[in-house]
Amino acid sequence: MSGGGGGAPEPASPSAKQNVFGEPEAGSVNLNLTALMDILSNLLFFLLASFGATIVMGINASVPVASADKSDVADTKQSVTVNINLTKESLAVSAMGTAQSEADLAPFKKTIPYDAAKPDFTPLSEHLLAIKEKFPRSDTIILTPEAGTNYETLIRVMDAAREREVRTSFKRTRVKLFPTVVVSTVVK
Amino acid sequence: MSAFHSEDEGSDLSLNLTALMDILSNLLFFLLASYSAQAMEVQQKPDLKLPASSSEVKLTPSLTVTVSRYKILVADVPVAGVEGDRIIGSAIEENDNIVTLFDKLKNLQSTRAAAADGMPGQDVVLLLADKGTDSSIITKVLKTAGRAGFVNVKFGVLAQ
Repeated sequence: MSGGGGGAPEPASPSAKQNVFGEPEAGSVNLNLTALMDILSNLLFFLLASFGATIVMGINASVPVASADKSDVADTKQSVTVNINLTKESLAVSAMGTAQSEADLAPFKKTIPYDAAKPDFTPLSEHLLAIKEKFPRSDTIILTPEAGTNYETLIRVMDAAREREVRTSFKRTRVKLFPTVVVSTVVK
Repeated sequence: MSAFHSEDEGSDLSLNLTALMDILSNLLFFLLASYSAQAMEVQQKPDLKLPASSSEVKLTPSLTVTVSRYKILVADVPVAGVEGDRIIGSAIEENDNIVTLFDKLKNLQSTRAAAADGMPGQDVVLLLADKGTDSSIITKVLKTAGRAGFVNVKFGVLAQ
C-alpha cells in the first residue's frame, strides 16, 4: 500500500501489518542467546572461583643496614627507640636514646612474661603507650626475635606496637605508637 | 498427532532468556568491578597460612619471597627447602647468608637496576611466610635480602 502514483497496486493481504512508512512489518525475531549464555556462565564461574583467594595487607619494616652517618637510635630528648626482645618465655621491652640518661630510661625497662605459654599483648601495648606519652616523638621499634619464637608472634607484636585504642569520656581514638619497625637479630 | 498433543500445537519451544541474561550481566559486572578494586590477592595453599593482622596498609606488586612450611621461593621459583627450623638445600654462611637465595636476589636486583635506574620500590621485597615459621628462618631471609639490596620489607598478612 505504499506510495501513490499511477503504478499497479501492490498485492497485499488486508490483514498484513504495516509500519509507519507503509512497508509490511517484519515478523517477530527470535535471538538465539544460548552461545552468549554459555560465555557469560563460564566467566561467572571463573570470577566466583577466584573470589576464594584471600586479600592480603602489608606491614612495612626494614632490615638494619650498617651506615657510618646514620643511626636507628633516637637522638632527641622527646624520642627514644624501643627495643623488644622476643623470647620463648617473655617479651623484654627497653628504651634506648642518646639524649637521655640511664636513670631516665630505666623505668621503661620491663619484662612481660607469657600468660599460659602465650604472649600477652595488652600489658605490652599499655607499656608502649606509657613510653609514647613520655617521649611523644618516638616512632621506631627494633624487634629482636629469639630462635624458637614463631612468625605469628612477631606479627602480633608489630600489631600491638603500631597503634592503640584510647577511650576518653566521649569517644574512642586510635593513637599511633611505633609504626616504624626494624627487625634485627641477636649478635652471636 | 502425538499421544498428548495435536500437531498444530507449537512444535518448537522458545525460552525467554532476557531476564536471566539481565541477572547474569549484573553479576558479571559486579564481580569484574570488585576483582579490579582489590589490592592484592594470594591463593590459599595448604603449606602457607599467613598470620592475621590489623594492618590496613595495601600492598603494591613487588618482588615476592615466600617462606612456606617446606620451601623458600623467589617469585614462585624454589631456591631452598625448609625442614622445621632448619634451611636445607642451600649452604648457609657464617653471617646467616642463604647462598642460593642471595644469588637469586642479587641477580634480580642487578637486572632491575639496569632496567629502571632509581625507580621507587626497587629495594622492597614482599615476604609471605607461614605463620608457624620459626623466626630464625625469617631473620635469615631478611638478612640475606638486605645484603642483596632489598633493605625494605613488607610482611604480607591476612586482613582481619
